[in-house]
Amino acid sequence: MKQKNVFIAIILISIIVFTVGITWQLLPKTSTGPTGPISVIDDLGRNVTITNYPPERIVSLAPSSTEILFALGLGDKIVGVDSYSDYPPDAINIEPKVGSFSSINIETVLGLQPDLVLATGGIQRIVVEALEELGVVVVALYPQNISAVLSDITLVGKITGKISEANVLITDISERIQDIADITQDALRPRVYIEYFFNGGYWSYGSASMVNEMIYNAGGINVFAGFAGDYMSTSDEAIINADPEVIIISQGAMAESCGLTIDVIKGRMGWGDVSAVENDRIYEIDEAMLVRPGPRIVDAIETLAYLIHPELFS
Amino acid sequence: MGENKEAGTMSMHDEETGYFKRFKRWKMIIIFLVLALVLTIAFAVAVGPFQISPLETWRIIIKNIPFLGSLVNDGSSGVEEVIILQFRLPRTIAAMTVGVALAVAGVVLQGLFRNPMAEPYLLGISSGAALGVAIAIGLGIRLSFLGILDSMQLMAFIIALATVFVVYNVARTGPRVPMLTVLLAGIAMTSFLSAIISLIMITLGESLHALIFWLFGTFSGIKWSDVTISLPLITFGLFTILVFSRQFNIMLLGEDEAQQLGVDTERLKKIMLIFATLITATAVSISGTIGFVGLVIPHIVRILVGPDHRILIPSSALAGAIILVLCDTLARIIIQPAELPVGVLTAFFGAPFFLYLLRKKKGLGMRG
Repeated sequence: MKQKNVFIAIILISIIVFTVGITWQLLPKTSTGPTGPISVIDDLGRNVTITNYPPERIVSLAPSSTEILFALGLGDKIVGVDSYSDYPPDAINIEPKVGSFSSINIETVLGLQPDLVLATGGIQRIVVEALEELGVVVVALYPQNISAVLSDITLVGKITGKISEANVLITDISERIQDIADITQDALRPRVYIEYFFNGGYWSYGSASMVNEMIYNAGGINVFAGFAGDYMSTSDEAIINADPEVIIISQGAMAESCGLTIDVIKGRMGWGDVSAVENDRIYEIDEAMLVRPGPRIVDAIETLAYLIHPELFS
Repeated sequence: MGENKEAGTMSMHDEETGYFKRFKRWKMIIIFLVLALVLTIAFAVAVGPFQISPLETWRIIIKNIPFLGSLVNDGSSGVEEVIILQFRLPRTIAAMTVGVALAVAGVVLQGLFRNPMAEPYLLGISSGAALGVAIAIGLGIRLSFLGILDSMQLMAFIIALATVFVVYNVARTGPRVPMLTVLLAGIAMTSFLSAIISLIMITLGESLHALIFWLFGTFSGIKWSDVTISLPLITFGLFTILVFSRQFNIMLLGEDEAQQLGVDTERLKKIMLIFATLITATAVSISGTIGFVGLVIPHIVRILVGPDHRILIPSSALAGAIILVLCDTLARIIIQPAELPVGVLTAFFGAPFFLYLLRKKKGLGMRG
């Protein structure tokens, strides 16, 4: 018994110490901004020290990071972006372009002498390692779900000295997501199928994707929530079998390249009996808004909610 | 068969009874393989994410066969009918056709190059066809020939044929075409073509991962329109190759001897090469590059039926069809509702099996 009490006491003390520690981190000390270097752990688990704090020269290697920087009012600190960064419109005018998302020109990045580079994981992991070796300060943002996007916004706020702006932003996003959840909570969840490409099968999202989570937050359910991966190639048969009630085209460069339109979907052989086609419930959504893990995820969730539950919004 | 009388002289050396025994054995092999293929197809069209019972599946198929159709009662079957007739059936037939094409191309190329490692890849045929398709998809070039051939098939065949033409002429010294130089030129061309494909893929950027999926080989999204083009082309190629299989046998015994027997070996090589190219390019244009079928099937079949091309070619065609239909069925159902690229499966099963064969029996029944 005694031992158990000691054990519980230790856990309680740990929780208190932990909570106080976290609060300490977030409170006055940081909101006014430290003057010296600060250290953070990024999404690849790397410990990064921002030596020139707050950074004055920032390079963004992904459109989502560019959107986060602009949303925190750091647009004028960006000295280089990847060529896919096209939102907000001001981002298009930023020169130089340091390469495309999948092939970054490390020399160009190095030549810009950035205080901070925001990269992603996945395909850019190798770029992160290369830049790190060259002594460039790189923070990798690689969120896999909505709450990770919010923590990444906090992280960017922390390393750029924009803590309060970041807090305002994530509070706004969280509240809007909660509003949608409140509005849709009593409604039935329609089965939603999102397609972004067709060639070698119909391409959609599985349960590991953030899109799957966003559909759920918008009051629907992904027809392929049962598939464990993030992207998937599927077939006429599987889609007819799943019988989506709402079909949404993720309209972007890939959909454009294969000519994916509402009429194309309506005209597919054997799809006439699919509920969404029968009830004329096929819509489009801007792919950049849908798939970029940045501040616009909430716009995407709201748009999805309007499309899935038009009866709840007037 | 009639126009290959000169090849018949070989059989005359055999004892009469031996000849008939062999013929009977061949007949049994073909009957067995055809039955196995029919069973495989019956299985393939009856499974998928959409549950349709095997009985219902076959009722739908028989209903739609002229004459036989009146034998079964016409039940209501809207979606089921579309799923079986418009999705599963064309896809299964496509897998069958591509299996035939790759296996037969493998047999022909292994014979031509007297090299057990020869397959459509080594000559640059697959890469040439793949480049054609990459150009058609990636750069959006729309070409069609008399409205019969789709741009993909046409580009695939044109570039594959151009590749073979380059390889053949680079390798050729005088009237002869030494196979070693053909092989080396083929490897060089493959690297060159792969570089161009990579370039196109990098330029494409966003549609990259779909093209990668396609390069692995897939039958996703196959429609009747794909089959109606490829089936006649591959059938035509297969029968032409079969017609020349006796001359091919003689040539493989030795080119000088074959010439003495009146076989124009250089012409024969060209014919075999062009038709192997045609069927490979057609296959690649509908399914992407599916590896190991052209390599492994001829080996297994050669071990089972022997090196005579008159039986080796049709048996390999049937075995290729069976294996690819099976692999594609697995690719459809193994992670349903999603699909795997079938090329991943053929490589997964094919590569270790091939290594095992290499280790176990280094000659693999091939001379030279």
